[in-house]
Amino acid sequence: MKDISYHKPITLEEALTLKRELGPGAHYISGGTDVMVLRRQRKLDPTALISLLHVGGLAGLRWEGEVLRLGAATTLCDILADRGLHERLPALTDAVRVMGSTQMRNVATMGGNVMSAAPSGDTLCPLLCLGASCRLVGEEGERLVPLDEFFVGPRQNAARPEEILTELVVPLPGPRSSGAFIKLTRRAALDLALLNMAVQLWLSPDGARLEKARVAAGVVAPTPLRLCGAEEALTGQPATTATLERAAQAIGGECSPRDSHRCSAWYREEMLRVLLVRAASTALARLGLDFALSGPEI
Amino acid sequence: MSELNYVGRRLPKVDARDKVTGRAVYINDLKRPGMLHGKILYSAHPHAIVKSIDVSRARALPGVRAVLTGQDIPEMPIGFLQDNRPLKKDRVRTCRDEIAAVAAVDQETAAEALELIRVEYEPLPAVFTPEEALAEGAPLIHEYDAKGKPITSNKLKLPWKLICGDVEEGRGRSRHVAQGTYRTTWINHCCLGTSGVIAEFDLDRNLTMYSITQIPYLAQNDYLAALKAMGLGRSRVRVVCQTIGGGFGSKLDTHCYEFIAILLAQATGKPVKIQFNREEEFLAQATRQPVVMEVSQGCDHNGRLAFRDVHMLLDNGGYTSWGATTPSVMMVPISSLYRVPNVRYVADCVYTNNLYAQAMRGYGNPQATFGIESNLDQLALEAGIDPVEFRLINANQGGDVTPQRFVVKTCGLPECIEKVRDGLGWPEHRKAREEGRNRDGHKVRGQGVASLIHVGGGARVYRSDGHGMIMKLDDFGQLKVFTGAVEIGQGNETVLRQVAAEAVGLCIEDVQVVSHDTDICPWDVGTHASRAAFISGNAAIQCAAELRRKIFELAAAQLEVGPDDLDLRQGMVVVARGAEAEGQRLAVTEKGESIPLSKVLRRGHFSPQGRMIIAETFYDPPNEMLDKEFKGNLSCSWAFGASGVEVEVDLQTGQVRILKYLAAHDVGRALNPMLLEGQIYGGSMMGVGMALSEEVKLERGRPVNGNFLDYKLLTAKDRVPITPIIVETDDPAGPYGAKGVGEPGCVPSAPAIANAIFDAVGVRISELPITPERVLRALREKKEDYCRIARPAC
Repeated sequence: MKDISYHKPITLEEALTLKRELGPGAHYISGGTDVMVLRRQRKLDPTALISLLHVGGLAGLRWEGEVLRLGAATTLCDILADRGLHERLPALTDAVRVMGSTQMRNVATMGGNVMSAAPSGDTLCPLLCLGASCRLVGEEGERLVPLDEFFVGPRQNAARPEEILTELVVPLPGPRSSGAFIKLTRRAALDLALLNMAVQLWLSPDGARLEKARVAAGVVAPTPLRLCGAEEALTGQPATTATLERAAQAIGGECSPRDSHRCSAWYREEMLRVLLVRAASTALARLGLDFALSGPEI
Repeated sequence: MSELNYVGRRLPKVDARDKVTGRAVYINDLKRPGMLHGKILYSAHPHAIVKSIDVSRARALPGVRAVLTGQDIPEMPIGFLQDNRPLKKDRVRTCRDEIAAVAAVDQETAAEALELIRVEYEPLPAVFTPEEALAEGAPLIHEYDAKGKPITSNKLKLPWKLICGDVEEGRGRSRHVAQGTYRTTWINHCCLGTSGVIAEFDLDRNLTMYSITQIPYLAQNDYLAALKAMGLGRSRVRVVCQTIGGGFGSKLDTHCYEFIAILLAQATGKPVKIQFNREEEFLAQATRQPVVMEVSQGCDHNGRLAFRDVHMLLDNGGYTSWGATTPSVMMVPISSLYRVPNVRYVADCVYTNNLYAQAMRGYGNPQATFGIESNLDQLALEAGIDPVEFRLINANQGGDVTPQRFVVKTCGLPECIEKVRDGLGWPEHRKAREEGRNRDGHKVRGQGVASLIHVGGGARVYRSDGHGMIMKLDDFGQLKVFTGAVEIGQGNETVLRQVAAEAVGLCIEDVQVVSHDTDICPWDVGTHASRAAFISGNAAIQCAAELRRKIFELAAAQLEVGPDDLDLRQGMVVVARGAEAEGQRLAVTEKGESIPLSKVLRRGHFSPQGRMIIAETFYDPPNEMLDKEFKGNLSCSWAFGASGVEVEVDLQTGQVRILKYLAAHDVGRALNPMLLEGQIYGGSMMGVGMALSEEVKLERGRPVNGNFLDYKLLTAKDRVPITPIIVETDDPAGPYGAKGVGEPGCVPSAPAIANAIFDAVGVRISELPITPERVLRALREKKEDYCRIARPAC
């Protein structure tokens, strides 16, 4: 078995230079919870690994006015350690709480989850609902790509091979908004989603109507997906169970769940509607309305 | 019985600290000087002719020391029916068939060499269910048996048929009858320590196997046969077991990889280690037998069982392990769980092109009990009798002789059922259910119960159910107990230490157990059938009596008292009885006085023509081998238990959550309640996994979920709230009254859960595992209006 060289750059420039010099066989690695597994499964065959963990300035949360800047190297356990985050972006913390195991969350990073672009990636749906963008730095400089345009296929993203994700820019949804995330799994830890869903809802100033709604689901298509039919069915409607059920029925053609040994397409389709009602109910309950709360995992 | 010092105490496992601090040496940790690493190439097809194998490039790879194929090895049939061989030659019958093996300087080189081997196959039609395999025109998986006789059917020639009484008579007088078909699936043992072995020859061509087997002495026999086939008929075999990272029945056979390690060690003249990774463990480690069973039972108007009729098809897979004898243990619950006068059981094991199956905790009992106890709830419903009441009406009692001629001396089944009933709050739940108070939105609660019977005093499945033991005292009063039993994590060495200290009369700190080496320890049939604590405990009591006799003989001469006047307590030789009655004068010791055993031993040792104290025993329990009709008292003690479960079923998702899990076990006597509870927790979790989540999914005979992400072994976070309940019945056959308890925990879990789900939502899930999808489909078939039920108030 061939040797893999391992590199620990401390600046972005150095990382980019290494990538250029080491060629297409070189692969960036952060927490490694995905890269190392893929390598063992022989789905990834790197000749060199460039660790981004030592690059300065990539970790941590920064609240800047109406925006949260989430460093790409922020670990999942950092996310859970930040109390303010759970109050302001509960859909995201719901998702992180049920990812992998404590040991994995200690090393896995936000940036890694986004760059892996797995159809089941748990942070992706909440980030899509929040309208997050990712800041990429490459040979040709820096650019900001909305996540809506970032996921292009299963484990495929819009970043160029040498580009490094430095941070996620998350617009804060404001006080009249809340969200929730639900993951359908077979067990309580160490599991991939059979289906996952995030919802972010914005109430009108009088609290009676849904001014705006974002819904995203994973494992229903080659990429995590915004469910536009459901969003339309929620927008402008009264915050009632009937509205949520109509929205569940409005989940439409954009989803193409598949049969797999993990579960059937039929079950996934059925659960999509259940998850939407439950996630939206939880979001509304968090806004103080009389709705039932569901846990992040069911 | 006098007061006990150690039996019954909650003592932690003697090996616990070594294990948590990483000091325990597992096979994974072990290295031998000059050791090579072996790797196995498995078949690419479930059924094919092997047209050619080209290993030339693999042989040429630097670092490779040997490459073997089926062509390179002698005829050496292995397995229960001798229908397997370590490396297959002309034909492969499963995706786990071993085609070639490499020994190389490291694992990576060995793995690389495997990729250089070119195999040309001609695929054959394959069958993947017993039904397909029995259909007309199905391809024959084996064409000849071990003796070279032609085989005409995929049905194995094994005579599993038990008839007690007259089932048709029983059916005729039954007022109520229930019948159903129940299915269980492939389950992996999921030992945290994966399979591994090191085979090493010395210069005299004697073989040492660094092993993790549960059956060192039977394995020794198998290895000797292999050596004979290899032309090494005069070689000796020593089996040295390492710390074993889980057994659960997976190591009751000798497996292909062990023989491959021997062949590679012989070919290279070096020690060869084969260590599975987890993917190999799922592919090439045999599983629990999947079964399809048709069960019918009937009862009279009083609810007394009149008959039980079970027909079973077992998927044997491509080769036959000892697991093909699990129907003999499935007979235990089929004939003897509850009082049922008329029983018929017919089982057919069928070859398929699937992986093959072997023994696993409970040895078929969990599968059989799933069918019987699910069906029993259906019968209770037919008869209109409360399921708990129905079980109490039919429960076994102490003094029963069952239709299979099992002699039940003590039976805690009624007490187990009652304690589970009370712990669940069964009557309160029934009332709540009647009033619809067991529903909260889209979640509905239900309760279910199931019972078990299992061998509690070993089982004579092999001609000897015996256990050899040696006890040796040194000059310092320290006792070494040499046992043939294997510690597989169950805690036997801790319990044996307690029993030996108690029975001999020593402080527990002065007792050590020596085990795991066939050169040093006497013969034992193996760690199976929940027998280790029972058999080795009884052996210790028997051996201790002999040891004490020798001690008292020695001490009596020194103290000038009669041997019968002495006792040994906590390492002190005590003059227990006044010798005045005999009119003698005590030379050195008055009644009640004591001297340290070590002093007695040294005085005995360092005197002219001195002696040391060693005792040995061979204990073989009074268990009967089943006769030609499969009747006889297989075990001298019978273990019983009942599990009670409360579940919450989500009507919208089909998910099942366990809210309460009570596991009551008649253990005879708790030798060490802490370890006993550990067995119950572990057994219950294994049973819950079998019920709800575990399944090796095969596509055309190949596992598609062979890893811990996709094979849903439950985790600590799944929090099944298990409450062990210990029922003591003080069995006269057991050591200090104890019965075996290793396997029973996992036996009644699945039917108790299935019954609880039925109680909650009225659907009977008769196929394991009970996935949310299966529950939801069953609910839909009932045509419930979910949206209506599920709508939260707003």
